[in-house]
Amino acid sequence: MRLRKYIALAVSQIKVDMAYAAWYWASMFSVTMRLFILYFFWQAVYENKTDVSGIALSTMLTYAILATMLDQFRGSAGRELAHLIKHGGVAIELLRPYHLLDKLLAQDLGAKTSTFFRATLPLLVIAMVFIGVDPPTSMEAASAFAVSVVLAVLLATLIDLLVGVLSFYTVNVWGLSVLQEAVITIMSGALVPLTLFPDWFQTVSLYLPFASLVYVPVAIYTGEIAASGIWLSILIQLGWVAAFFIFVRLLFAYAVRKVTVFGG
Amino acid sequence: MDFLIGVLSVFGQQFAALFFLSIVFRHIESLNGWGFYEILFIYGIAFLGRAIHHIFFDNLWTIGWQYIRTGNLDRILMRPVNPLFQIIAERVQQDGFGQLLIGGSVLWLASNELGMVWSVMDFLVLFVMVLASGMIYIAVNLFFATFSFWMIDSLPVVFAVFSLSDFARYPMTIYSKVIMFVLTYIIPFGFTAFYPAMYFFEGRGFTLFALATPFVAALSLVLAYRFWLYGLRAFASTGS
Repeated sequence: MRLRKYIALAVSQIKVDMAYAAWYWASMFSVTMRLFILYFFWQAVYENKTDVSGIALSTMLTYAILATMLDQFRGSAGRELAHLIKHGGVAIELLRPYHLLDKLLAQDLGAKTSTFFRATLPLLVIAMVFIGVDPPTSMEAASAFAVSVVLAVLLATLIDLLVGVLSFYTVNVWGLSVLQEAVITIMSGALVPLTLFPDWFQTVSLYLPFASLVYVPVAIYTGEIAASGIWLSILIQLGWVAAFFIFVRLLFAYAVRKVTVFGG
Repeated sequence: MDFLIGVLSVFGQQFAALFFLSIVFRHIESLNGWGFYEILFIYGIAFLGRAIHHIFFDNLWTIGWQYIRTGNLDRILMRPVNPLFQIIAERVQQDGFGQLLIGGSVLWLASNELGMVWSVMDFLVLFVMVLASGMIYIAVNLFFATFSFWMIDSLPVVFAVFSLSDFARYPMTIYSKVIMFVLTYIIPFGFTAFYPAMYFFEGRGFTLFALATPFVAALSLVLAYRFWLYGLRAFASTGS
């Protein structure tokens, strides 16, 4: 009878472990379902057509699949930072012997690396088996794609950190992050290639960082961005990464000074 | 302020979805025979159904981590009032009213563009259909939230099942037979938007399914509630 309580403890630990696994499977399931919806949706779009705005069905599906995958890599570092700021944990973090932003960046990249192996790769296999993913158009496109993806992921984290830093100034970060999410969903090309958008929209997006998040890497892969344009696109991505890196740091340094002043 | 942000957030998500659709429709005339505004109409009904679920039954999402894990449920079970009612009544989500507004506007816009004529009877049917749509969301949520009694928190399961509701955004005819079967007879999300919308479209078929909507909703709710009662009994007996 004494054993009973220990058995209960063991069972409850099994349940805790199961809860983590359950979240993993739930998100795998939900992304898989999203892929299937995309598949049927685009099939219906191409019902009586061979191309939409010059893009063939298999290319469009490849784009949609890769964009959906890449869209999973949006940052969470900003939320972490906002949480630290809101609950005061930032004060202790600032005393520690590292730069807080770099710490968050490193943690975020670690989390994303693990997501890549745990979730993205299996999902890609599912997509390849059931839907079909075109191979990259050339070796050059493939390697440029790899570089471009890394830059895109970095940029996503930096934009997220920027929103996080803003919570030094506003209590309601949630609203900001919701806005950020909607803007990125629409303007990054996560839903459709930006070439399907009206011309004025494409012109505007040329001057904004969002296209670098999804459209640029995926369009390099599918050949939407031709070989001649690849290196310029990556250069622009690099420019945005550098700009955001510096800007977030400056804003953070400035905000921290202010916080210290308030702290007396 | 929080209300505004809530509305804004819902608006943001839905706007992205509608934006996507409108961009695609710049390049095509119809999707599997369905026009842009017909799809918008289907969207509108789903919005409204979801809004009802969101406003009054949002606490169903939190049964696992707010009531069972914390032991809050024991407090609720002590009281002589229906425990499910207590849980539901503990939260009203105001931003759902914004959703109601957006859904209504989308529906109004779509029906205008489709040149629909509305009689009083049609309005009544719309009201019933929207209510039924909301009830199906609630029933599905309740059914899978009930698993929390055995696994402490079944939120991942509820989340996974709810991702199926995204299928209901588009006309069901674009999907394969298997998916249509699942969304009709197993997890009846087809009745949250597509089938009820068919009542208002002429010559599109599915009339029988459209008329079945309120009954499917009632049946789902009864089944879900019975399962909830069963779970509650199982929980109470181990908790003693």
